[in-house]
Amino acid sequence: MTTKLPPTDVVIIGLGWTGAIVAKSMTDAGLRVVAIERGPWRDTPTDFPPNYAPDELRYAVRHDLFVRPAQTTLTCRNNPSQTALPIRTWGSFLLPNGVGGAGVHWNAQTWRFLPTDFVLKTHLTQRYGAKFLPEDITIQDWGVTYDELEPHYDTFEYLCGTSGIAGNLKGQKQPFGNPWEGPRSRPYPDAGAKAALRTCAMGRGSERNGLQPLPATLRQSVARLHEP
Amino acid sequence: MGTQKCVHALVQLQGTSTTPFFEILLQDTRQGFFADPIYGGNRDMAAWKMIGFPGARYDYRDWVERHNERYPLPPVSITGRTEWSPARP
Repeated sequence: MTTKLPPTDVVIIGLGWTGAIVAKSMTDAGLRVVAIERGPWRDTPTDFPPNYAPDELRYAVRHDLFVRPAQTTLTCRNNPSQTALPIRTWGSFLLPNGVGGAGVHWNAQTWRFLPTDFVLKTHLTQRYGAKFLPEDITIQDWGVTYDELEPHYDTFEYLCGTSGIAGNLKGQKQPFGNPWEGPRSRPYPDAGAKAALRTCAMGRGSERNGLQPLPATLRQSVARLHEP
Repeated sequence: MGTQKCVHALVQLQGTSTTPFFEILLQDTRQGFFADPIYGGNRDMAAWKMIGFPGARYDYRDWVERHNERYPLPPVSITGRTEWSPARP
């Protein structure tokens, strides 16, 4: 039996980070938006109150927030000679379930891609010669460059209150950040959690050996909330 | 419960390898011993005391930069502290 729902301007399939940002932009522009998501409804006060401790067995081991294999069964084989069988326990990837999508359980590491990642075929060919890439390697340039995406990276980092230490501000290398990253238009919005890196034995040893350890770039805002 | 099911299956399926049975037995034992007492094992956080795991404390920020110091507080579980456990039957 078909259920006919009231008409709407926009339907978004999947309400994770991407869908939620698109939904906000479109509702701000005055459009009526319906978002469709598999799995349960989740909201912050009910599912993620600060006085609740998500424990390792329920969440990390038994994958409470992810799709149940019986809910959406995928098959897998490790090489073409095998018969593909149903995956019973997620491993190399974790399918999100419920409102919020992967944004509910992501590790909040928000590295930017390097400028060369966007033009990988060109980069490797220029660096190692036209014969470097075997014919059956199908990598391509993205068709969009780091510089074109930089304002969007910036918007997302400020939306999230991402923490980290800039390694390259408008082309100027900065100490204690990632020296290989592309130019940023401004610093991270948050200096970040106290990093044990520079005081611990591993951090000091790395520096003694000429390496440049840097804190992970995380969306774990500790200083203040940011509402751009 | 998982283990009971597995034993049952092995009895019915003669010739099946015992490896999956042992793997589940080992996994359940590990999980029962090390998981939060809320699941019924790890009574009084005995496993956590043994390995020095402080449990489900809310905030460790004061300790981020204190290396090679023993954390002095006893473990807490999701349901609380050892002293709050009901008396043994």
